[in-house]
Amino acid sequence: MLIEITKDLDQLAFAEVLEKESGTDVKKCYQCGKCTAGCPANYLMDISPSQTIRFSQMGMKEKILNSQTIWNCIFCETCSTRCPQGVDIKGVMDGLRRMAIRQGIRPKAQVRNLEKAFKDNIKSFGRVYEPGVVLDFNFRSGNILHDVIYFPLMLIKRKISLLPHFKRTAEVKRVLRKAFQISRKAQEEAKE
Amino acid sequence: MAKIGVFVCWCGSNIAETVDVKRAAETIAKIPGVVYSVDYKYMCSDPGQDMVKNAIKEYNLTGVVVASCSPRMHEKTFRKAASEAGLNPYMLEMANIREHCSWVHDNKEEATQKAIDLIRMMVEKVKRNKPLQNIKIPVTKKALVIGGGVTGIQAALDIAAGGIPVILLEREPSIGGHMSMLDETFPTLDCSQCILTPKMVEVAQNPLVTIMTYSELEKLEGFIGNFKATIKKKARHVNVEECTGCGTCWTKCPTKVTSEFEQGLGIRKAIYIPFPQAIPSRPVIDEANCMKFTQNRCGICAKICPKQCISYDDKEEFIEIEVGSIVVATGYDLMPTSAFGEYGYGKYPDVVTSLQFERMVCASGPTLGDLQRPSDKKKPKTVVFIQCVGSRDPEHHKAYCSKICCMYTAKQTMLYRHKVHDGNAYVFYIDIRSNGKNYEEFLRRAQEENKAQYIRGRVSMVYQDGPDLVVEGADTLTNSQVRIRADLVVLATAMVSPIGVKELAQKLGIGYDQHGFLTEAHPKLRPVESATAGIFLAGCAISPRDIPDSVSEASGAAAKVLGMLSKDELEKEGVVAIVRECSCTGCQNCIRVCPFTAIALKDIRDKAGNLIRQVANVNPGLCTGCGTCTPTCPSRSIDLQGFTDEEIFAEINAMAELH
Repeated sequence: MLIEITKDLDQLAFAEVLEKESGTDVKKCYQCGKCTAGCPANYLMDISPSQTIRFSQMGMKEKILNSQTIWNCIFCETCSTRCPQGVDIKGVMDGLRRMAIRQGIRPKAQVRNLEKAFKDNIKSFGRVYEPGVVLDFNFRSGNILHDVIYFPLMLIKRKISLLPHFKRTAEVKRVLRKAFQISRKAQEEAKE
Repeated sequence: MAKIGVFVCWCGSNIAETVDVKRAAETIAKIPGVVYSVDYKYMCSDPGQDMVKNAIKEYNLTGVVVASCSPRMHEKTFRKAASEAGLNPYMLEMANIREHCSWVHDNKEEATQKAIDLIRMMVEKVKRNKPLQNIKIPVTKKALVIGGGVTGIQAALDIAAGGIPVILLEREPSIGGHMSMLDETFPTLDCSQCILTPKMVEVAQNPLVTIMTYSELEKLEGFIGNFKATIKKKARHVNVEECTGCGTCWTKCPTKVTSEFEQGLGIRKAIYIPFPQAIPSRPVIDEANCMKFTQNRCGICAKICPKQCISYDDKEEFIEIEVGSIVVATGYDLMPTSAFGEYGYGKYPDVVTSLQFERMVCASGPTLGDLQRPSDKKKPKTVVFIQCVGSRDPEHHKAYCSKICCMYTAKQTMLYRHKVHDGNAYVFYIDIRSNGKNYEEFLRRAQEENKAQYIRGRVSMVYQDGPDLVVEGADTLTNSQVRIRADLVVLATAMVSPIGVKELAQKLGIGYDQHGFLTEAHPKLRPVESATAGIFLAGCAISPRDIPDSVSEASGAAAKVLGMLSKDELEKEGVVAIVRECSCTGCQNCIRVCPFTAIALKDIRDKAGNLIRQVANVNPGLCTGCGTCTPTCPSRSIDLQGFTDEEIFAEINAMAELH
């Protein structure tokens, strides 16, 4: 791959846009690889987290916006917590997603399905009820028995419960409703 | 009858694990002449030393053997202990059963046998040892500093602060060195000249410091405390005492020459001072370019000089000075850029060295700080800095890291962005080395605040395309080739030892490495000393280093000089060669092989003063006890005290069990 830095890319401009979008300065990154080292979702990514930051530094916008990495990041924030330079990698991923969506780039159907399942689940329970998310996701993606084999074992190990038993869900739902409202408003404003 | 005491050390488990120290001590006790033999856990500890002292007194020992580590470690310790107990220190020998035995063997039986042999050899030697006295040498309380850069200036100032007169020698027309060429310095970004010139003035005003510019060391004779240096004062053609530095001569001089100080980017005259703050601010005539010398015409400067202090007939002068100690601070040069064809230096005017870039941005530079690229005077909008040019390339150029390039490149990106706010500064690097106080922080500032864009990889080539330079390289972090269209390319070329340093080192009798950098006596524990006593080193003459390191080394070397010159007499070991005059034939073999020129011919005269014959004579002040002379003597008339033939043969015989 040959990059025509001065012809095709504007590194500093992209860094500025990204800083506005994500609140973090990618120029701070010195490529130590701490984020990639601890990333639990790295196996799902076509570009590792540290490389995503490097491509951002280089202003290689198309490459990162079209990557799977930004969609497959699970937002666990291990990277941002551990970064010695204080780069909010998760924030960058989030920012990159927004930029991608604005450019009309959509994630793969699976990612959309999971997002939908997650959102609906939270709307109805106020909290994440994992079996519900999985079931919803499986229905949406048409593979009903996907990962069902893990269910009994996780049940025995008490990683998940059979039924949702959350307390004060009504109040949480109210908070979420408000949050969704704000988010919608912001999106509409952004469109205008 | 000899009474020898033997002390076998365990060195914790270092020796005792591999050598049966008890058996060794017992076996040695049976040797005739050994009256006391013992083993102990740590001989070098205070109780261990006390054992030696007590045994010397109690058994009236005439000789002692300590079997432990290398004499390089603890010979001094034990000899001091012996002399405290009243024994001549040279009657104590060490058998090295650690480095030469326990550390290099694993078979305990054989190692024990070898240890016994080693001790027995030393016992036989020490039986034949003769008491020696340390040699006292008078000291000339004056120092010579070679090199008038910031390192030499600091060394001269510190020595003078101790009350010792100093001669500061500089081969260029002015002191100041490379630091006077720099714009701002990392990591504080203070102006280089603003912090250097006060020091230059201070050293010039110091009554104890004599500055000799445009001068070189011609010859050095003598030894520690008593050096005799011959200085060559190059013909300046200007009477320094009379000249007021008014500048009439260089204003009127019609001959324009490219300026060395401006790194070829500016011009000077044939009669010139290198830069406005030069010290002394007295011009020199450059004979190679002055028309009076090349074509025997012009002569304007002599005509217009209001004080008539220009003389074309000046010849170089040789001055002899006596000094007690020398500091070598000869600094560095940048690697000649002709070696880097791929970067196009010399071919494209807009490819410059880092030192040229310093002059280009410097307020006192040829453009007075207005950054213009050399070809079309345009303000460069994109600058590419290339690091490790010639450094870290053992296959083609220099294997070492030039140490300061990472930092000054970061600094130069800052200087550039301060001049051109919307400019792009790209840096090609392999690794970044920012190990110094506030250095990493400084580097982060270059990248984060000043937006220098770092690309990890080397550059393959630079070529011209229209008005632009195209730089092709790699970024290993994105695993891609990159291409940058630049207006200016700056090469961070390797620091090398300056021309003439090897010759100087040979005159001084000090060592240098394959790159021409001077060698320290010990890289860690004696970093400012050369292997030759009385000659000290500081700054980039040893290896590439930055200003803080150079200045601290200068102070370190000055402290060493002051420590040495604070005494009226120096004491050195009595291990020196001695000539038996009755059998010496005066063949001069020893004189020819002596690496320290310590041996000379001495006249033997009768009572009437007639010369009878000549014999070799050793100057004990110069002799280092290396022993090179002894095997060359055909009549065995020269011997090294402390390592005489008799003593060495006794050792060999003991090893062969022939005694």
